[in-house]
Amino acid sequence: MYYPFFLTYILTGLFIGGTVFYWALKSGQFSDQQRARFLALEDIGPQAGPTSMRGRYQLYFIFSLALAAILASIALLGYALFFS
Amino acid sequence: MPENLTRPNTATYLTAKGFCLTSAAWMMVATLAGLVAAIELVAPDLTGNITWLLFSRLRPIHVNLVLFGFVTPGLLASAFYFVPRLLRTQLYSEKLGIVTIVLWNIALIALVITLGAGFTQGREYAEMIWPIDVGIVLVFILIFFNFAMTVKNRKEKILYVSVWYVLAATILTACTYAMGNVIWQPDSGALSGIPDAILLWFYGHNVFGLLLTPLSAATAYYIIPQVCRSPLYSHTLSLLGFWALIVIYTHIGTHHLLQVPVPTWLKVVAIVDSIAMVIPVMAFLINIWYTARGKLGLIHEDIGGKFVFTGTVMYFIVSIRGSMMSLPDVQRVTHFSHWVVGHAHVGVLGFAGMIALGGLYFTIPRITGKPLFSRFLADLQFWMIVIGVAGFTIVLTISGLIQGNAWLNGETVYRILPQIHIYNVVRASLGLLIFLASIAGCYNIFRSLFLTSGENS
Repeated sequence: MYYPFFLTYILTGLFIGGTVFYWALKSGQFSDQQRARFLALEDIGPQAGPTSMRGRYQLYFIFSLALAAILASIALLGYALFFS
Repeated sequence: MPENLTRPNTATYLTAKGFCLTSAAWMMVATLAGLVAAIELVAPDLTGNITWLLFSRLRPIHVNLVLFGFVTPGLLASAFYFVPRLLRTQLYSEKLGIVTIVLWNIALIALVITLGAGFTQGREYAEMIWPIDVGIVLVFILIFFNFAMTVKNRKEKILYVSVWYVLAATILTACTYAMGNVIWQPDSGALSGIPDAILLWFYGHNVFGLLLTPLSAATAYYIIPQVCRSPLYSHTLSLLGFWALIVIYTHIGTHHLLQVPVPTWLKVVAIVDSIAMVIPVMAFLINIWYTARGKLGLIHEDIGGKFVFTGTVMYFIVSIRGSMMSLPDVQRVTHFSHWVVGHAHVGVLGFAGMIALGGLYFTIPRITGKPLFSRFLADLQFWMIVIGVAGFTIVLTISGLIQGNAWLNGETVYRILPQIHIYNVVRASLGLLIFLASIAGCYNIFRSLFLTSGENS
């Protein structure tokens, strides 16, 4: 019996989509479209700052994770080729 | 500067950096898996009976790693840079971002190990076993939460179209991934019979339509105006494209099942909406191309912009092909053949992959405060991928037409294999080109993030 899942999903999707659209309409998201055209050009977001020591370690950790992923793949290939 | 905006403090962009690394590293693994699989099509006995390296295991590893290891993290890296900037605030939580990246990479490692070991649910694009499914849904929810809270804390009232796309992509993927992987049935990850096929392709096509496409559109809508130093052609048109995408794209998955006894009304909806996709596609492309009109020189100067703009051209090609392929008379020849594989490569690598790489090259100098390590390597990678994707398209289209016509005329599969052998050889060669491009890109990105003082990009 799959229809309840499908119907629930469709109705939930319609409800959320409708609600978000209504919010956008009411909160002025569709107004002042001329200014909106320039939003990507106004470069006033946070500037890149110096990385703290802790941040640097976090980045090293992610790097080591990515490295571990590559090594895991190499190990997998090596095992497959020579030991299985 | 408008009065309602303030200049935020400096930012570390750790989450963006983490996703840059994730994308660059996994691109190499993903393309290597694809390369080995392509070589096996030329030389099926290459790896003997090594179960880990069977085509049937490498193929899902390749596909899932490209989707979730390379392209999506690449696009998210840019999103974690530009969403706070467009909202004139800081990211809600860099710590949460780091947790997300760690979970994401753990899920990817588990993906390689489990699929390599043969633990699969056997449904295309939904092969991963239940614990990994749960992990992926969780990370998308965490990412959405991070972005949603950033929106809540925003100092800019209007949400630029890129923000709409990013929010939609993350939450809709969390939902469709859970639904499409039948996450409430951990053992099988499937329904039974035809409903399962309908659900699978609802999810399968929405991985492209509601994850890669909106994230790519978001990135292009941010980068092209910046590179061209001109405002977006029309923000209203961009919003029209966004809502049209949400309404139309969700229905088209069943065009994968035109030869299957699914209800006819559903096939009709899928075909009509596949053709109707021309509305959001052209709304996006007209907007981007008119923004770039007369500014191609500026795009050529910026390596990020060059990747992104090329990605939009590929989007035009893949979308026209996609709409055509949904027509039953066309699909009678093209379906189940290499044509579809070529189509998928133009879409995922040519469109979303190019924009993801463009996003990385545009973002990295801005989040590190240093120039890119090597513009030459980035240009080299650009041309290798362009040649690779164009080659894939030509070779697989020819090969697919040979297969499709032969099968339509009642020829058996194995008698066609000698005819398409040469195309498989060229395909594997192009795969090598893409793999080498991924190595060049990974080296360039690692050096740019960690070690270099760089050159002008």
